[in-house]
Amino acid sequence: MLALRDNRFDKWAQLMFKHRKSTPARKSEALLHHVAIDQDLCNLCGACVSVCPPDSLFLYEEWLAIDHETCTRCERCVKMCPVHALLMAPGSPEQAPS
Amino acid sequence: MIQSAYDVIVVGAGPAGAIAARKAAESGMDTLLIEKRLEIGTPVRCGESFELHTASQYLEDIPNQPWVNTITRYFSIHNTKGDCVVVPPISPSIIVDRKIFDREVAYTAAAAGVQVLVNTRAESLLQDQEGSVVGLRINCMGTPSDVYAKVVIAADGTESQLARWAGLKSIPALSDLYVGTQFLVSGLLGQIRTDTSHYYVGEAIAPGGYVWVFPKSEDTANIGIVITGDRAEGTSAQTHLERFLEEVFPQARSVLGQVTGGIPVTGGLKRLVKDGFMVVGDAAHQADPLTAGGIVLGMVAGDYAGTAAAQCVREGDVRAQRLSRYEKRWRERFGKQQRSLRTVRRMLTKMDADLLDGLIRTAAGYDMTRISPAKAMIRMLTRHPRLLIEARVLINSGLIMK
Repeated sequence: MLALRDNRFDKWAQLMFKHRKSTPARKSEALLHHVAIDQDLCNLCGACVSVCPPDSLFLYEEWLAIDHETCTRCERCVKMCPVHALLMAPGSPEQAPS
Repeated sequence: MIQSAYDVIVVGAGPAGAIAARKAAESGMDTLLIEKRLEIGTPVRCGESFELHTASQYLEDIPNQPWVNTITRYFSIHNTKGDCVVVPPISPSIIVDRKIFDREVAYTAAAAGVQVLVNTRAESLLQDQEGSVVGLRINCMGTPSDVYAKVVIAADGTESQLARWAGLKSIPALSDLYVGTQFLVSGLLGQIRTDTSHYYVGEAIAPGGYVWVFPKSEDTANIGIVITGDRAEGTSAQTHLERFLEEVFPQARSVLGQVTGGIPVTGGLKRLVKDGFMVVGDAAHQADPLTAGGIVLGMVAGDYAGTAAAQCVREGDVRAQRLSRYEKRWRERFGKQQRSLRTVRRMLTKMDADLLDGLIRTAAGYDMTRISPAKAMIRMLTRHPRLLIEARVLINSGLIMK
């Protein structure tokens, strides 16, 4: 019975939070991914900087940097990059330094 | 080299910032204009075309300037099926070399008495206890220092940090953001005319946006694309543009330059001023919400902001309430237009692809130099009654009634 209830709750939660990126269930999951920057593809246009809600991207003269600590993995930058220089990579940033 | 206090500091030496600084200096303000890059005007981040008439208020004798490449007297709008309608614009546009143009505008500021410094980055805002902006911490050619100013004007472009630090910046929704890229291509001899700019619309070409062809000479042109941010996930803007070039201009094999960027097209930030602080240009989302052109709009905003800043400094009161005369003036002139154009863009992005193709096909049959836009609109409505349903948002927003 309890198992059934849990299952139902899961479905309900999925429906409720479908549109949200960081649901309680997905938060731990989100930490398993990070935004990786392909510095070779990046044209340093700064488009991603202007859409980053927590202000985690920094544009320097010759490279683009990201603060993985404050990044919420909302993927807005990944979605809109004009040259697809940003991508979601598996693992934490320490495991796969970008 | 750098003083410890100024009347006005402008951050960002693009057209908006340079005009703001110039207007402040012309009103007798001690003005500093800083630019983080090593050279004003580079890298270019723009399609390099703007309307001539309004720009002539700020620069003399424009058509004969060396930075003008071509003058556009016709706009040609294409659909995905190969039809095209030629529209004469209300005022001609010019296509310029932004590298030289930006430096020239900055020079006019310097000539008016502004101190211009490149390689100078704003590190943070200096604010007093009440949150009023009183100056900037800057890094001038490697040396950090605190500089005080009565008014700080942020003209630092789309990725504006200053507006964010001041608490004015809002993050645009992806549907209110154009992302794009542009190639400067050669090998177009015989394919283009220097007096015609081309626009290609349609879901298959540019989802939620358009492709432009701005001739730089008889053989070269800026060919670029913008698409809305929420449609960029699957195929990047650059891939869309490459496909377009292969299909429409296969002989253009050389790319002499590339520009990439994102342009917020929200129609303007909610607040443009706070105590001791103003924001202008792309930093204030002031680009045209339909075409994403922002040079002239930025220069006008710079004019209003610089003039208002000077007035307020002279009166000795730089609180938001006084500085908001800039905001008021801007909204009086462009507020309604910006809102309407944003509505038009939203309508066009949602419009059925076949209807859009059909509209352009119908319009291609008219001689737009002979009939008025209103007449063309009515004829189009009779041919495509569906337009009435799609265009109801325009009637609601009062654009057509105007």
